[in-house]
Formats: sequence, structure tokens, C-alpha cells
Amino acid sequence: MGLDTSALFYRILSGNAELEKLTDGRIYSIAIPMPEENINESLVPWVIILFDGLNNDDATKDDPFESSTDNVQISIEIAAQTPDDLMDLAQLVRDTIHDEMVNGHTFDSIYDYKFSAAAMQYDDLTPCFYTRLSYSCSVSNVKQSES
Amino acid sequence: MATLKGQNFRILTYDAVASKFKCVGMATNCTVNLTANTDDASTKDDVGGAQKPSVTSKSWQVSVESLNVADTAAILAAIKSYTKFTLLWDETTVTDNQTPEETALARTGSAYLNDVTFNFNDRENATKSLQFTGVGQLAKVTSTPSYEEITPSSAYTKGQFVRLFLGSDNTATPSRVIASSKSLSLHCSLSLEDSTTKDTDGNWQVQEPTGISFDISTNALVRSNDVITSTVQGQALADLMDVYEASEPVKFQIANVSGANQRTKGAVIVEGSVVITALNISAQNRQNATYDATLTGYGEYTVGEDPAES
Repeated sequence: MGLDTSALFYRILSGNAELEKLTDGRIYSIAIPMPEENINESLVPWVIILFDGLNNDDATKDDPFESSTDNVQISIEIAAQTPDDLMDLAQLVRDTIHDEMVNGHTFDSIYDYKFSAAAMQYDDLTPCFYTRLSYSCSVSNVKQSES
Repeated sequence: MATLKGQNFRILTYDAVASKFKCVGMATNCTVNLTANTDDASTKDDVGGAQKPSVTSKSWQVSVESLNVADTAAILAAIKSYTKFTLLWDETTVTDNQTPEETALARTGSAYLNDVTFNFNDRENATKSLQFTGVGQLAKVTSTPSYEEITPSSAYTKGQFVRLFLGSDNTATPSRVIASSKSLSLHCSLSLEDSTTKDTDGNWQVQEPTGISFDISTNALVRSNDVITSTVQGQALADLMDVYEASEPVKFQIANVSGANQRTKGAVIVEGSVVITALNISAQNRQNATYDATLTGYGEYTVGEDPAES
């Protein structure tokens, strides 16, 4: 499950109609890369979900090789035309993930997560404002551990 | 002048069968503590307020830490039978880190092995820690000691392959491991009493053993009973709480393990009975809940086999 976590985030965010509308469908991931025309024409806003790696943590003597928990790092990069648009979009992404964690079933295998956000920055080439939301998720790794 | 490095200051024990000294194998650290007890000999005849300590008795202790647990059975048997060891420490050659050089640092003496701890922690090399307390005087080594080289070994025992099995009563052989355990340590202690009298030559303290005690400590993650029952089949915190509440001794075994989830019992290293004397639960926000259990030995333990290499 740990390695699939970024795909889950993509499914959640791309399934939100309001987010789809605000970004004009420009929600990307490792599997769905940003099209060249988007880069060439500097189209914003957009959201990209990135897999930043994982570490398998807190093994016990019951676990032959890997523990039952992966700590998965997911980053969500967001770009928008104005600071206000960026903050609205970041808040919507954050709320969508949070709502899914509290009410949804997709995240049954995610025990817990920690959230942080980077400072807002300006890219004068595009031009746009951008930021990065970071999620550190404790994810079930049942297949590799206790049977 | 070069500083002596730790690997060239070693503790050797006398092997009565081979009639030779041997280094404590796979050692990682050693300490030698020489202590002098004093009385203040200042009197009203002395001007000023300064003390005049005079040495009344001396004592010494040696401790060695090592990765070698292949002699666990012998060590547990030795401490149980109040075995007195002959120790020697000396500077060793840099070519093999073993050959004693009969330097001015070299000393020898008799000592009781009075404290032993074995650590079997998950995903770590098993370790042992030995503490000897001197009996009587330390002597300078005046001739090259007869010693036997030991073969450097890399036969480690990984902590996850040694586990604690705990029963629910003091009759049946325990069959269930402590579930989701992280660490395990076995500690044995020989009580020594100062038996120095006016008959004792010199001012070195003499010790005599009076009793033995042992305890076991373990740390584990707290799992829900559902998870334990369906997957691990081990003793969970709730089971240990039942044992604690019953206030009765229960059987234990520390054994080699193999198989799925490392819970198939192999050769038993040590067994006996224990009572639970402490259960400390820690539940920090956003962290795995854990507990520490302390089990104090009830009666004598029985020594089995050495831990397997892994």
C-alpha cells in the first residue's frame, strides 16, 4: 500500500468537482504528468501530487523483515495566478484530504498523517505564485508483515 | 608518545582447563575502577580546617561489554554457582590486539562475576555486559602471562531471534511469545557482602557471595487483542495485566525462535519462574503506544543452550 499512496491522493483530489473546476482539470501526478503545452503556455492554476519516498518504521520481533507500517512522504505542489487564488486552492486541497481522512473509506489503511506547508514563493518566469503542501502518512504495510 | 587505544587494553580471564589466560572475545568496551576508601585523619592538633584523608581499604571492579553471547549458558551457570574468576588486564600488541605485553599497567587478581546483562533487541546484535568485583589484592604482573589466542569471530546473534515466552501460570510450559516485542534483557546479579576482617592481610577488601537474583525486562508495542488473536498469537499487554493482577509466579522461557513472525520456539536458553513487578504503559500523542514489563525471578533458573548464531 505504501508505494501506492500518491495514486490515492491523486484519486481523491481529481474526484473533487470544485477542485477540477478551479484548476480547469490541471491535476497531475507521477503517472499523469503535466502536458508540454501546459508548460509552454504557462497555464495556471495547477496541482501536482508527488511521491517523496517512504521509510519502513518500527519493526518488532514479530516482523520477519518489514514492519506493518510505512511512513510515506507525499508532496502536493500548487501554482496559481495570485496569492489569494493560491491560498484558496491550497485550502481546498487541504480540506479535501482532511474530509476524506475523517469521513471517507479510501484512507482506511492510512492510520495517521502530519501536515505542513512551505512558504509561498513567486516564479517570475511563468509568472505565478506557488507553494508545497507536505503530508507524512503512516500507512499499512500488511502484505509485507504479519500474516 | 602515542596514546594507548581502547582495543589495546584488554581484560583476560583464566581458563583453568587450558591453564592459560584468554581475552574476553568480541569485546567492545571495558572499564576498570580502582577505589580507595578513606577516613579523615585530621585532628585538633592540625591548624586550619583541611581534611587529611588516610586510605583504610581499597577495592576494584572490572566490567566488559561484548557482542559474544555464544557463552550465555556458561556465564549463567558461573554466576549461579558463585564462580570466582582470575582476571588479568594488560596492554596488548597492536598486531593482534590480544597478546599481553607485560607492561607496567598489567595487574591480576581474583574476582566474582557479580552482575551480568544480556540484551536481545530487535534488529540489533545481541550484547552482554559482565561486571566483576575484586576479592582481595591486585598483584603486579611480573612475568609474561601464559595466554591462548582466541579466534576473532563474527558469529553474531541478532536480537529478534531470541524471544521471551511467558505462561499464564506456574505449571504449564509457556508456548506464547510476548507479541510485538522490541527489546529483551536478562539481568542476573550476585549479592556480595564485605567480609573483610582484622584477619585479612593488607588493606584490600574481601567480598563473599550471599545470594543471587535475576530479572527480565521487555518492551513491546501495544496491540489490540483482536490483532493479537488473529495474527500474532502471542501474549499481549492485556494478558500480562491478567498475570500481574493474579499476583502469582508464572513460567518463562527465553529461547531461540524461527518461522513465521519469529514465534516458533527452538532451543531454550534459560527457563524458570517470574513474577511481574512492573508494567509501565506509555501512550504519547501521534506515536505508537508501548509498554515496558519487568519480571523478577522467582526461585532458581535452569540453564539451557547457548543462543544460535543468526
